[in-house]
Order: sequence, then C-alpha cells, then structure tokens
Amino acid sequence: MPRITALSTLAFADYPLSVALEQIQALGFRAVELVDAGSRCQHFEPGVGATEAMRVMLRATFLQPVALDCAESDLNRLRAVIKQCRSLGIVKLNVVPAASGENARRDAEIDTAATVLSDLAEFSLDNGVRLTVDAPSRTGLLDTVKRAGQFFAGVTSEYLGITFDTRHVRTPNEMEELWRIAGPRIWHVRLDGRTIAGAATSTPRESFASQGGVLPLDELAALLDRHGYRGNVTVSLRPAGKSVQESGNEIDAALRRLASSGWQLPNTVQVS
Amino acid sequence: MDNQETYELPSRDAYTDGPVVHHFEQPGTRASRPDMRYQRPFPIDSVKSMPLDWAYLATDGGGADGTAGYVALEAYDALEFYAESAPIWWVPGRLFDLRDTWTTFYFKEIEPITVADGWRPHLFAGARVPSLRHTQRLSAWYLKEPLTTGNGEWTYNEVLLSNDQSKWINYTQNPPEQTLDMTLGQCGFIGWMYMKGNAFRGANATGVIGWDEFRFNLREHDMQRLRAGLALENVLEV
Repeated sequence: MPRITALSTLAFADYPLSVALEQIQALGFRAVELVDAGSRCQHFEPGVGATEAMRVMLRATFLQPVALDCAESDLNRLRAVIKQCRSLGIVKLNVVPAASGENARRDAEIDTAATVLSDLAEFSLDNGVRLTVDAPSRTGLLDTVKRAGQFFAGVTSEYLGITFDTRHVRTPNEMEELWRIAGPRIWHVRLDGRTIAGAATSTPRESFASQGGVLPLDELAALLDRHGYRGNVTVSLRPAGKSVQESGNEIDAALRRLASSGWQLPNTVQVS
Repeated sequence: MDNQETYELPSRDAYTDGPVVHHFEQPGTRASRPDMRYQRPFPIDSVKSMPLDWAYLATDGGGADGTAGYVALEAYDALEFYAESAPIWWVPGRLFDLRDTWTTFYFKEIEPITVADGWRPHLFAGARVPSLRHTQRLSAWYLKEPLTTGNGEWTYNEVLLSNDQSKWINYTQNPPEQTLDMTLGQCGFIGWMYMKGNAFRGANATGVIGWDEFRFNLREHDMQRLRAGLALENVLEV
C-alpha cells in the first residue's frame, strides 16, 4: 500500500502558519505541504523577512517542507517564489495554469502554457526545485484529462510534472487514462478530504458517479501500487470554521479511515 | 598583532594539520555557510545536506563503532540526496590537500532508502576554482566506485582519494585545466552524494540514512594506526 507522507497546512487554513505547523507536528507528521491560496489559505509569504520567519518555524517544528501549492500566476513573482523555495529547501512547487474563461481560445492557451511552463520548469530545476501543475484541475486551464494530455504533448521540459489531486478526477477510468498519458510525470499525489470521506461508505464502483464523483480509496491505492508510485502522498483537508481542537479531531478521523482502508501512515503518526 | 589573542588564539586548534574527525555526538562549533542565520539557534554540526539542512543529530539505535550518536538525514522524494563536510565554510575556514589520502566512515540505512533507477551513493570532493564563469567556480568530482550503505547495520567504508582522474567523474564538467589534482589539492567540500552519470538532481530519494565517525585527511601512517586499533594523533575534532 502507498504511504501517506505529509499533511497539507490547508487543514489549518483559518490559522497562522505558526499554529498550523505546531498542530501538524503535534499530530506526529515529519513532513508538510505548504499552501499559498490567497485569502483562502495564506501559509507562504514573499520577501526575505518572511523567508527567515518561515525557516525558523519549520526548524522549530521539525517539519520538512516537501511541497508548496501556490496560486500565484505572475511569472516574475513565480520566479521569486522558486528562489524562496530554494532557500527554504522546498523541493517541489505546484502551480495551477489559469484559463481565461473563453472556451474558443483554450487550445491556444494550452499551447502557450506548455511553452511558458517548460521554460519555468528549467529555471526551477536550476534552483533545485521541481515544478508541477495540477492536472486535471476542474477550476484551471487543464480541466480534463484530455486537455492535460494536450498540454504535456507540447511540453518540452522533462522537469515539468503533475500533482494529481483526487478532488479533480471524476471516475476511476479518468485516473487510469491520466496515468496512461503522463504516468511518469506524476510526482505528487494529494488525497482530498472528500476522497477520504467517501471511503467510509465503501462506494461501489458502479455507483461512483451517483456518489458525486468520489474516488474509491482502495482503487486509488491499487493503482499507485500497480504503477510503482514512490512519490509523496499528501492529505489535504479543509475543516473550515472549526477550532484547532475540532480540526485536529477531523484529521484524526480521516487518518483512521485511511489506516482502516490499508493506507500506511507515517510511523510517527498515532491515531486514536 | 593586538587582535591575535581575541580572534586567532581561540581558534588555533582549527589549524591542526592532521586527520579531521566528525563524531556527530554533539553540535559542532564550526558550523557555517554563506546563508547561515538559522544555524545560530539550530546548530547542526559542520554538515551541509540536501534535503536542505535536514541532517540532524540522532541516537536511536546507537551510533557506529560503539558511539552513542550519529548524524541522520531524512528524505521524502528528495531531488538531491547528500551530506558533506564543508571546511571552506568553517569558522575559521580551511582547505585541505587530500591528494592520495584516505577517508573512512560508517553508513546505515536507518529506514530503507529508495531512489530512482540507477542512482547510487558515491564519495565526492569539491573545490572552488578560478573562473570568470559563475557556473564553473566549483569543481566537483565523485569516485566511480559506489559506497556501501548497510541495510539496518552500520557498514564501514574506507576510501582512498586517489589522485588518478580515471577513477573519478567530474560531474560539474569543468574545462580540462581544472584538474582533479587542483580539486583534491585545495579541497573545501567532501561527503557522499547519490549520483547517476553527471546528474546530482533526480535521485528521488526517500528514507533515512545514518552517517557516523567521518574521518578525512588520513595519511598512510594514520591508516596504520587505525588498522592497529590505536588512537589517531594530531586530530582536529569538529
């Protein structure tokens, strides 16, 4: 079974980074995915002062930052973010290519994004950071597996990969199709809270669509095993509007669900 | 020489020209590197690592050669996987002539190490070299012969830094005039790194490795003492 390696700071989106890291450490994790999603979750800030503050917080909580999920789309600012990642030892940066909203222009936008992000991936690698895109992403430019395939057909850098977020995949067949198209480029897997919650009802495959598109955890685990996936697997929950204690309880319940579905938790994480 | 007592005498032992030994039992006093602000509150001995600064002092399971502690390096799908002693960044800084000297150390997989296909751990050495091109101011080489990591047990590695270019790979791909002799003769970085060909990025390493009792700048007479079970003389412990 694949191993859960990190928890996303999204789990404590309503709290400052210092609180999020302390709570994630208290849960027993040794690795963390940072999230910069603007007003929804701001756990990464630009600037030298912020970098040093984040460095101290990460070292004090002994959490290894394995990825940054970043909503930034401005190229110059992304280059600055990459340099910050280098300084902090964050080795993977995930971005979400944005769509203009005009469907007629989508093909041209995808081609342009493939060129621009290929260049950015090379810059990123020179700084010791791997670049990934959310693919597919229902809210982004690459909103279907087919469009993800079109994008990677135009990518010229071998250093541009995929963060596979279970939130954005509608059927197990889509999941298989993505692996067929770009399997070796899948460098990060993010287990969305809804996927984990779906496991409680053991959603049968045939009723998958009627369940609102929640991927069966066991099928996902089997697929990762089948393809020899060895990258990070991040748990990404967002218990909005809850106290730290309530959020912790929700995470604990999700981890219990994962463990009972056969997923391997980090040795240092104890669930109730 | 008014300043000698204040600044130089306290560090006089740092200039010892003998074997260097990292015991990894306690935080060192020479830890430094250009971006070192964080090391003041969190000293980690004189080791630089990738994942960046994830080398830490550990005692779980005990160190090598009967010692209590060791340095552990933990990785989660790490692009680069290495640890090094960097005397060029010590305070005060040092360079060593390591031509045809020996290095010895212990390795142990504290948690199993997985890496991408074809990646292996190697001994490497590096030096700053004169160049007008920023990208070629480092000349770094690794020995073709891979190291042994030891699965669950401490494994002893004894390596001769032969001044013979045919035994090494110059992974920073310097021009011919920047020779192995130049690098070993003024070495500022020495450690282990997972490599494949000229690539040092792409290891995709996961696991925890232990590293202990790292000695370098060992001459033949030092090796004779080590092999006879005698204490080394004129040692610089960092």
